[in-house]
Amino acid sequence: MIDPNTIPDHPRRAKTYDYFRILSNQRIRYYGNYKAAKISGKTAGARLVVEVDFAGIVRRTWYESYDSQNRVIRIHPKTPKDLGHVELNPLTDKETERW
Amino acid sequence: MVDSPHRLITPQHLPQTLAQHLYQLADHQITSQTLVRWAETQQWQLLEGAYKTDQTLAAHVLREILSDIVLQWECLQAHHHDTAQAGQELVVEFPNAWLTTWLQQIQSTPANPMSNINFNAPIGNVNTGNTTIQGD
Repeated sequence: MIDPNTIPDHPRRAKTYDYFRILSNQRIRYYGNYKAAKISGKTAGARLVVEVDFAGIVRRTWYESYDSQNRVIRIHPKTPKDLGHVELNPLTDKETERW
Repeated sequence: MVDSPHRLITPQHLPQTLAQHLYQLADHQITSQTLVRWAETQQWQLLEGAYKTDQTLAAHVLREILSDIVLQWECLQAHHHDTAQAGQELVVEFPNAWLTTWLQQIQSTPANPMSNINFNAPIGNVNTGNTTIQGD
């Protein structure tokens, strides 16, 4: 497990984003502020996720959408390539649909 | 999100430009998707780009407003996807009430150079008629 304080820009990111998680593959995921959906439905809210490597370089970004139980129900990979929306079964984390 | 043809706007001019885009959207001069793409670019500059170190209150408020625009678009698209009938063509646009909310939030941005923005200009007068932004 890496020490986040050795990663360039970590203090700024830790302050800018809502929270972070250290991964076992020498990367950190920074989770942006949660925004509750203004329209009621299956999607309760969403946030931006930014994945950074040990050198502090942004490797991937995506949007995560959550249901009312705060389970991830959809991801939308944005970089390095926009892959559209990927629906997930929150119980299995398996992909159910792409659109 | 990183590579974009959109012009880079300084944080000082961002509230004014964002407000202009919201009015353009209300007047159907641009689409919600156009606004979102622009907002993504500006948000990224404030998060990881040229203005990532700007820790002013104004920059913080702008990050929140731009983030809300981008993430509400994610939720709105999904809602339409979930509720659309099979074969139905999707035309998704932000409700005018949301534009009004964002304009009000911009107006509260600290030290923004928005003196030439008319907040009494009606927004969404085609559909809602009486929804307006109140001035100072």
